[in-house]
Amino acid sequence: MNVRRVALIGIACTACGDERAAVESTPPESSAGPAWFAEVAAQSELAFTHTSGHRPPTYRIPEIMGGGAALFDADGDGKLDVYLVQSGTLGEPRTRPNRLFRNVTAGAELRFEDVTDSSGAGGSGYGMGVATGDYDADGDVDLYVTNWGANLLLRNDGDFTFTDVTATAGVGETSWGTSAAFLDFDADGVPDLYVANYIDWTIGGEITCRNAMGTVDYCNPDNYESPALDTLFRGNGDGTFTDVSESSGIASEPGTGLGIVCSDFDGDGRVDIFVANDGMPDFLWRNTAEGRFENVAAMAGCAVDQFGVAKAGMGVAAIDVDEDGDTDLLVGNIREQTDSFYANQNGLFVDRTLASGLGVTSRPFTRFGLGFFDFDNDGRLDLYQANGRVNRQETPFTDDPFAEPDVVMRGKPDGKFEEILPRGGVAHGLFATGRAAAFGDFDDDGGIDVVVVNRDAPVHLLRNVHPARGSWIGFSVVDEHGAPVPHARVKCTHDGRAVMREVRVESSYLAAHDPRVHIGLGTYGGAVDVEVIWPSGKRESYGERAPGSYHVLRAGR
Amino acid sequence: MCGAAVIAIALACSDVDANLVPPTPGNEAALSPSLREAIGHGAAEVRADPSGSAAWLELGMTYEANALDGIAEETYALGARIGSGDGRLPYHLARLRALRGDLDGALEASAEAARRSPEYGPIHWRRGGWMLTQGRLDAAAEAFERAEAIDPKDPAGRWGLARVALESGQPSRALAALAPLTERAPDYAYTHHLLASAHRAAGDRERAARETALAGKPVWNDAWEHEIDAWRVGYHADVARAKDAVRSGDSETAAALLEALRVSAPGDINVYGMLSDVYLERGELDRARSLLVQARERFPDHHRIALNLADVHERAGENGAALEEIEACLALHATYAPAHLRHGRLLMKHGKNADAVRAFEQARTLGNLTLPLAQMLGVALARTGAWDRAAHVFADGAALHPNSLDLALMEAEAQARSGAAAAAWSALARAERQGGDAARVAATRTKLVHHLGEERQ
Repeated sequence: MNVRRVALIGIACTACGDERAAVESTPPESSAGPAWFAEVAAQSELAFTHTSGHRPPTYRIPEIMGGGAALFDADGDGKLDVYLVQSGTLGEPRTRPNRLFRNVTAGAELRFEDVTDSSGAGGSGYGMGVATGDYDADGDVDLYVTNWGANLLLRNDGDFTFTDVTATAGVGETSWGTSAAFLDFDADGVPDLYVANYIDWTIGGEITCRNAMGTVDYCNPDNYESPALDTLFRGNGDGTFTDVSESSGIASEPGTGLGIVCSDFDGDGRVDIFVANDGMPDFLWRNTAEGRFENVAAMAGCAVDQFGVAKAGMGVAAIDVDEDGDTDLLVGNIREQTDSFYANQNGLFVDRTLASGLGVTSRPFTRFGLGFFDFDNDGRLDLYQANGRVNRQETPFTDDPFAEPDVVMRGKPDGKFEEILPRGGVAHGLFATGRAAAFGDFDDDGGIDVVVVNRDAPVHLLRNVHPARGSWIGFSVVDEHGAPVPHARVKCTHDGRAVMREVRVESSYLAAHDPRVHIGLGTYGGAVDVEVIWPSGKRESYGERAPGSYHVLRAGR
Repeated sequence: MCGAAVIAIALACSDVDANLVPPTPGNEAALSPSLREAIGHGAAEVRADPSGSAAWLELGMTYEANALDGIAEETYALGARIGSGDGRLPYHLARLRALRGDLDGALEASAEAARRSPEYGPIHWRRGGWMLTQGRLDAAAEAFERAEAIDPKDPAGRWGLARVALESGQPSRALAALAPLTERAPDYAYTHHLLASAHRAAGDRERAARETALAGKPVWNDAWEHEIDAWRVGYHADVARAKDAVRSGDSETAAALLEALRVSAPGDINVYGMLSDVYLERGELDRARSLLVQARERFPDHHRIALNLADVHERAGENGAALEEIEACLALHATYAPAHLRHGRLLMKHGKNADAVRAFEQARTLGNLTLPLAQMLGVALARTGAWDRAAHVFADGAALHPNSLDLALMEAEAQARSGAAAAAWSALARAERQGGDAARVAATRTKLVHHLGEERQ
């Protein structure tokens, strides 16, 4: 029945490009289940519309890459607030600021209040992404905003006020920053900062590119022949940083960095750095101690895909998908390329994209923000991917020629993933040019929500409304000052199963997530035995904890 | 889904073939005039003979070659209804379905292609790949074996068998599948990629590292797919033709094509760059200069114009002016690797070898160790007397460009001058194995004997 309907449209409506695209890309409705998410940005007063400044017929590449999102508790009230990064218009003063929203949810509905004007967090420059971390060890979470142009470090002074301390902190990176991450690579207890840079691009140096149809469009990064060097700042412990890009070896290879994720991939006790490059081999910077890094991606098997091809890497995720105790990797790529799922085997990676079922569904789309979370709390990780093209489509879904639907993949018991329908997990199709996707639990109900920043469109706030979520447990893993500790690992043992999760605020694309660790428990409703492995290597046991709420795990309690 | 449905309907309605209408794009006005013309021509051919598969194939390839994949797929699907012996229509339909993620549809169409053209190997290795993606390992292996049987010289079947083994978690079987290729065609970079994957899966870090150093992408032999390129029209086709003309030494044709593009795409800085290179190649320095001056008026802050102008000055022997332009280029774009390369070259011409080394090293940091860069950096180092560093650069370059006789000979001499006898003779042996220019090899041998004072053992 469904096939026949499509066929008739295909024959009778050969000039109706839009209809054809919609039909081809819509999965069969008969297989749709309940919606997992409801889009509630407007009703929650999370009012933000990204602007790229694009004015045809000019196509300037930064316009197609922003913007960013951070979910963090700005005021220490236990509620997850939102910071959204605006782009603007290249070469012109910013008229719309980045936005800071306070989570004022009190009842059943999510509610946000825009507190930007009095916050000092509006920022400047042509915005891209944002990283979160407590750089000054005062217990609250600060913001590092990446721009095309000068990046910004915004110190959290409490009560939703921020101060631009970029110059005094010495992190005034002026390359085209994309994703960034706070980490402690030298295990001295002081946050360091890695900034992925995309390409060296200037307005005056823009070139004209044409898509395969011969019409003017955004260029691919390789057209510029200008990959950029990433930057590594070492925290000095006094609120300042030192650029150690050269001495650390990070500046030895240029790339086209878009996504970044940090983890101890080889189990040697030191945090390593993975960078997804766009059209170039990805980096795996192995932390070799004494402040040095070595790019081992090719040798480790995560630089290129199973065909030896350097894909257009954008969003990244790193988590123990196969529950063997180490950190696996997922890189999202451009349309017609599969994702790259690399299973970690003792620090070497085996491409398991096909075996995991991730080789097909996402292929028609261009995946930017993404994340593995257990959205239905069935005890298995699922995958959310925010999509949107970088070149104009032959037959667009909407008036936005770059818009695509997002995709949600459900983890199955056999270790594979399959797409859930309706597409994107929402009852009514959402089409936008998705960029940053940030994940967190806004109402502490154990359901992971999603914020997606869409290029030249309103933000999506996807509240988790899955009707049959399983049991869950969550942890706030904090240092002695009460700030989240990135890359601390939580080991939960329950019901004969051991799950390792890392405190991960970076990953995805241009995003910073809820720093809390969330674990779906399925039908298990008993207590969970909890242990934390701190970045220093020290282990602390926290005994048994009950499911159904978030628990604070403080270092040296 | 749409294409599959068209075929499904066609099977039930084969009496409507004579009424088939060629699909045309809904957004035709947005297409370039040359593409509109090509589509119009192709569609007219189909209308004239809707039961002739050749016209459908050509129209489909016109669409596909010009990135109109959706409508290409539809065209192939309609053409495939005709049921001629040509397997290309269902084959191209299958490829496009696969690109869209519709592997079931791809396998269905490719089965029809295999029925029509059972001896075309790529049908089978592509089917194997799609089955592998679906996790159907046994069926995939069968398809790859069929491809291998049809054309044992095409490595695609054997690569596929190795991939099946890797997906099955059997790296030793993958190594066995690849063994005939390593003997028969050791230069296939993708074979080394698969070998590296197999060793990695087996936990053999040392062998994995060795193979990774040689690894690269596959080169697929698919004549049916390659022929589609010929149907490309418009800007990209003209650029490709101009590049082909340059490669074949036909600079007149290249210049004519690019001048026409300059008119039809006046804001395209790439055209200025390519055209000035053509004029330089033809020795028409004034014309190149005039063109770039015009370009600078249009793009006053563009580093690439400065780079091109530097080339003009350099070719004219105006090395001072060239150096000024290249420095202007770097002022506009300090991390532009090609400019650092040119900068180094010009500094060498000025005898500033130490500065040239710094420029070349900057180019290396910001880009790749290309063959010219390896040669120039090594020579600049040698001129500063740093023979050991030069030897290292030549050796690094030779690893990346193993077919370069120049690099092998340069490395041999640099190793000899830095006292590394074994490495010197080894590099010379590599040069000898490459064959060609026996006189230069002999001259380098004489130098080695002179510097090392001993004959090769």
